[in-house]
Amino acid sequence: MSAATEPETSGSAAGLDAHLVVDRGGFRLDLRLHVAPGETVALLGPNGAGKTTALRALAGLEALSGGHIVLDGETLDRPGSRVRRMRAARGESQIDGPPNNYPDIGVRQSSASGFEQGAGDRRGSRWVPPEERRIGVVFQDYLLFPHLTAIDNVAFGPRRRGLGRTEARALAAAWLDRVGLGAFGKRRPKQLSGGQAQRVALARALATDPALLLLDEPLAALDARTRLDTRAELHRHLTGHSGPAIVVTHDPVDALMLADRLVVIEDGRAVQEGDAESVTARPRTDYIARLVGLNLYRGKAEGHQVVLDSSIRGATPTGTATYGDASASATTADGYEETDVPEGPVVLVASDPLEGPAFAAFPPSSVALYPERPDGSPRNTWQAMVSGVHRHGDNLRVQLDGPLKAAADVTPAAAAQLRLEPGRRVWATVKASEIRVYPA
Amino acid sequence: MPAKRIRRRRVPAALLAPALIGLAFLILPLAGLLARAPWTELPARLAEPEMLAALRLSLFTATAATVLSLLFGVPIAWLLARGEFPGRSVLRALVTVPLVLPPVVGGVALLLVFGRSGIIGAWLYERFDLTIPFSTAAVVLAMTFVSMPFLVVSVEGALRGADIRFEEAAATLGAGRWTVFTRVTLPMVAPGVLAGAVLCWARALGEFGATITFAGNFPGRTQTMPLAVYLALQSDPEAAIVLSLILLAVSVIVLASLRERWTAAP
Repeated sequence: MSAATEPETSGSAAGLDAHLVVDRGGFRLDLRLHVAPGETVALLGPNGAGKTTALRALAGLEALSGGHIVLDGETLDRPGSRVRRMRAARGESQIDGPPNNYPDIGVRQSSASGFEQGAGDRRGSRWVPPEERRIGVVFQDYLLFPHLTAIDNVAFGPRRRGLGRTEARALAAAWLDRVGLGAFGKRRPKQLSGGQAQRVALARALATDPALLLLDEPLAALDARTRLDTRAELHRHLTGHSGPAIVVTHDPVDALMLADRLVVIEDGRAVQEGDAESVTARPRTDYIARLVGLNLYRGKAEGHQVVLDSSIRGATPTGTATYGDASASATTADGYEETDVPEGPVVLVASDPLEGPAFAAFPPSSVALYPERPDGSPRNTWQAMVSGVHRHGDNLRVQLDGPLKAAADVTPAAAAQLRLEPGRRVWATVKASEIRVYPA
Repeated sequence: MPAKRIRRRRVPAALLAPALIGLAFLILPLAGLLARAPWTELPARLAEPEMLAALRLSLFTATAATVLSLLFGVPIAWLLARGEFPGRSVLRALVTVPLVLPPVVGGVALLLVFGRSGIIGAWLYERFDLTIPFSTAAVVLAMTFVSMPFLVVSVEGALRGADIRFEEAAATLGAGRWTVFTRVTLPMVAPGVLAGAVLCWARALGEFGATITFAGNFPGRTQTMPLAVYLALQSDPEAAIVLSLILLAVSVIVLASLRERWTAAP
């Protein structure tokens, strides 16, 4: 078997066991996913991290170049033959979509057979086309068929799975009722609001009774208000779904609200995994730190002190709507470099002791700013220069440049009092008790 | 007033003059046709048996050619738009050759293949005692040959413009390739198919060169309206005008039905 390097995980295991490897000219996705029945996992990551590619591979819209997908004990994709590997590497499936996506007929098998390595698997490869996988997908733009009414959209799946016209419609009507759209069955997708279309798409995916549910940025296309309601409802349906579910999102709030577990991916690989609490409290990448609004630094802990890596200048969460003029702040920043910045390692002092490589994180709200050096101050005090001021909720988020790049949240009143504007020099302090230190 | 000055920008005379001449050239012949039309005798002339025969034959053959083009052209378009095989661009070029080929040449080519001594024609004659040239079937074949590319090009364009992700969504819902095509792809490109069919039908209706070469000019059997117009012009110019009026009316109707897609200014 060519998949000898893979741990053999087939058989009775319920849920999803996947090792997704997709090679595509310059980009490589290499992601291991285990999702238990009833569990919802969020794939969280920036654009281009490979989230959607992972989803497409699971759905069978893209072929794996390595690894495997096993759902409830049945292998859905396990490339073995050289042909497959080259095909996927060339990325043909990306351009051509499903009709040309299928590998040669020889390795195609009906999923109904349910066995692992059959007669057609002599080369160790196996491929189940998307229409034979029991996977429901809610696409990012929902992709409701524009020529069909809402009820026919939902009935589409059940019809393909062998239900008669009336039965499929009855089932679809029931599903529309469950998402609260019983009265909208006769509407075309164009006549539905964004939130309604999202719910129809969810009903359509669930109506096929999928063993695995995939949601690609399910709330991204909605406005803030609709998003709130839809998120709560989506959460209810995800909880009700008995199989594994995967939500792809770049929105940490969606991920935290919808999922039991987060898998953070960057550049095609998982960089952090865990429940919402551990991921947000102890971010391990700049991306997550920025998402959850933490200043994050990597360094070496020596007791209560953390000596920060000089190469890492810190990830600082930003807000929206820049007030400062970028070019103006750049010139002042140049002038700043020449003056009184202390060189050498930057040391943070935390209350919890630790030894070895560590992350240090603190929220922008814990940073206090002063026009002069404060007396009897906390131990973490440094001089910084304001490089930008952004609106952040009711407060202002101040980007600080200097030995320690950081973000600080201040009230508009305080900002006015401190005359915070790009180029302005201030003193920043953080209490030791506000700094979280954890092993890297 | 500044607003008025912006709106009324002068058109350079060097552009305006040729444009007007060109417009006159395009419009005047049609106006002439309308001016010379024997409006009072029109109903009577339309009821003449030869006229009716040509009209009936034209409508029948053009429709048959359109049906044939749909049956074979849509799959060709799908192959060109979705297929992944070597030589696809060559195939696309070949398919569109009849668009630019002089129809007479097409007629000659058809004659060489389907004629009694042609590759397929000889076999048809020996096996089934079938002779295609100079029959109504030949008219349909000639029309299909010249008009199918219009349908293929139109449908291929629609298929390329269609979002393939809908087909992917259908696949995840359990639809096999054929079901995806009939239930999702085809309904979504229906406007393109319709436009292609209308265009194809109009082209078939106006077909002259390939028809007269391959099918001849037998009244009631192969004499379609364009052929009748040409013949009538030598003996009975008024009949030619009446027939031309009908063809003009059809063209205008076709144009009107396609206006959304073709003549709507961007």
